[in-house]
Amino acid sequence: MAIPIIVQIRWRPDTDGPSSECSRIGQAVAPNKTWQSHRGCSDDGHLQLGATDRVEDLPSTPGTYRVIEIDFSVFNDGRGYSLARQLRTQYQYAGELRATGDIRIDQADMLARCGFDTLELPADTDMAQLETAINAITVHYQADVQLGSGSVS
Amino acid sequence: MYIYNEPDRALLAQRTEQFAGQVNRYLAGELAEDEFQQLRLRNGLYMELHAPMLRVAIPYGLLSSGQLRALARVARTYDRGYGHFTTRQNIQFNWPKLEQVPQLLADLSQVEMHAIQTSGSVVRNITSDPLAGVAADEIEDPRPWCELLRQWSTLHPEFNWLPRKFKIAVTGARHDRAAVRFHDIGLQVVDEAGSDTVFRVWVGGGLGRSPFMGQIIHERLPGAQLLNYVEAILRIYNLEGRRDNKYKARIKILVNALGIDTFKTKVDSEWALIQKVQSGLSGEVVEQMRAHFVESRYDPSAPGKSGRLTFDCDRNADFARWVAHNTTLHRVPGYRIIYASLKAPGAAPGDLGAKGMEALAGFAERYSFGEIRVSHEQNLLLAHVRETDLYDLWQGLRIHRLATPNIGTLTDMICCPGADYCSLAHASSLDVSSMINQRFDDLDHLYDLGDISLKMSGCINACGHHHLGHIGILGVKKRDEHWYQLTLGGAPGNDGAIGKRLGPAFSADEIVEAIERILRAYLAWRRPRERFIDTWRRLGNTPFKEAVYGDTHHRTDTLAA
Repeated sequence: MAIPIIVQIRWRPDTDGPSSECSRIGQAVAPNKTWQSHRGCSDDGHLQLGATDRVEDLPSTPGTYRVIEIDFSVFNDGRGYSLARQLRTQYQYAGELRATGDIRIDQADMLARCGFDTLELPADTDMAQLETAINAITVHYQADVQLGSGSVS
Repeated sequence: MYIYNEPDRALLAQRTEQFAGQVNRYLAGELAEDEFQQLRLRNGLYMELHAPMLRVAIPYGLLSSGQLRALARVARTYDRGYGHFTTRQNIQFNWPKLEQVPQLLADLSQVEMHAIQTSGSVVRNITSDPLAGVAADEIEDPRPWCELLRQWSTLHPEFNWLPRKFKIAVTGARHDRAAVRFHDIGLQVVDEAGSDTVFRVWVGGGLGRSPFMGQIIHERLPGAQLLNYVEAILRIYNLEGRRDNKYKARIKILVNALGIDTFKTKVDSEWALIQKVQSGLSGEVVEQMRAHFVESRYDPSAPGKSGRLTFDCDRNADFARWVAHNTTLHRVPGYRIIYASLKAPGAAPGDLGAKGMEALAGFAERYSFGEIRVSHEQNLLLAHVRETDLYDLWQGLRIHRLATPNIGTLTDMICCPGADYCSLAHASSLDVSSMINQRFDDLDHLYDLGDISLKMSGCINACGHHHLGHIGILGVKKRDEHWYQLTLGGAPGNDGAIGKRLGPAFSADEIVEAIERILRAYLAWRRPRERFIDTWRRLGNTPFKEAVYGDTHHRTDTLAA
């Protein structure tokens, strides 16, 4: 099986509307995954979490990790989205937050809006389709209704 | 009503285009079946027995004349000329072609309508009191809060992959007409004069396979914290709701497994963390939203002309009967709320043809500020009709068979599309509703039976809310035949209760006779002016069981509920 690629999602800096801070572009920065992930913290500061893990049970404060991976065993299990929101908003985790496992390009936008900045995707991912998917919706109600909610930047 | 602003329109246009792209990728073989299923469900598209079924959202049941006309055009262009209004105030089209759905949605987006989150494991259409803003018993108009919740829950990035569907209902009246106790979250404005809006919050209600009444999780939630609190509930549910079994995945199962106190503790601690990073709704935002729903077009001279109504009633008994049954008082003197009955004899409950939609759109423009409402009971309402216009309106409604004076009676039944259309259903519901209509076609008999609600679901998913009917009918299947189970004593409102099963199921040939026996027993046992539900509460299931099954208990075959 081909080695998955890591895609970094950057937040678009320009503003073209009230919710433009949520616009992003997709960009592949690391085509080869070189490290072996495993549950728990590895030597180089990686922590892997699954859907049943809870942020409040982490062995150390989230800020001590360089990369936190959240694994999706199946794409329609949404627990990882809440874990990401908690890490970013309540624990002010500022390191890399990576989504791995069964994730689909149509989910990239919402994953990013919950705070993921890198995605591990199949090697044959169509980057043009991914960019289309990420940029499909640039207007977000959550920011309209309640400033700050939903727009984790 | 709420008018879209530029961001609203932009979001809808983007979402419409996004979904069109997903459909095209699926048709081109670029999107896996399992993924497309999830994506199409999040946009209201089911694959049903004969064709796709598309459920279009009608937020809290409120429509403009222009929107109803657009629904009529959709019915004509993409369907077989009709639509089906649902118990969740939405409308379903049973015959669109998958290839045409993107264009259908593009057409609807022109009138600010869509199918976003009308199915799938997401927050569904926010439902409310059909009398919102016009009811005499209202504490506060719930619609601004409904719209705030609608916007907040639309494409919320965190809650697009919940364990199961999630339904929220809001009422601002003393009498609950939105069945808030039977929703995943129910919100009821608390009557506290002079203070800012305060909600009583219910959680964990729901029907389906395991019906539960909601429990109170917060007695006095400040309106400013509404979205933060709902977010806390949804986050706990998203993280802890069961995902191993779809029949155990609703929040009601989680709440009951943990117990309301433990669940509340979890929600409260999450809420506290959320409040550290997110302020609540500002008074300004709430006020701006309220301004959308202020109705100021009432004619101040209307009350002085009320004598006309008495005059019209005196000269026409049919009209008087319609006024008595299909209209109700408005909070503004001189105006009435009228119900257009979608339960004419022979009609499938909740169905309306394109001509009827267009006629109602016209009546709404002429008589009711161009606004139409959909009720949970699957009727349509014109909420602001001058009493002096009632006679003309009645004549117009009659031409379109929308004036059957049966609101609140036995034949005003709630009914899902059943096995004739739905791939989930076990039994046909439309045949039974039509048999009931034929058997109970005498209006005087119906009026004698009085206030009585009959609700029917074609399967245990309970789209017809059979648990909440004074008389509930549940379609089941055994040996490839359609059978029907009866429950008695359900109610959706302040006196909410889940109906109790009467006994073994009936065949299609027996079910109407069984209902007739129940009603004969009621007529024999009732006290003066006692409603069916009150007689049942006084006597319980047992005597009704004997009246229906007799002493012989000849039927030995039972069905698992």
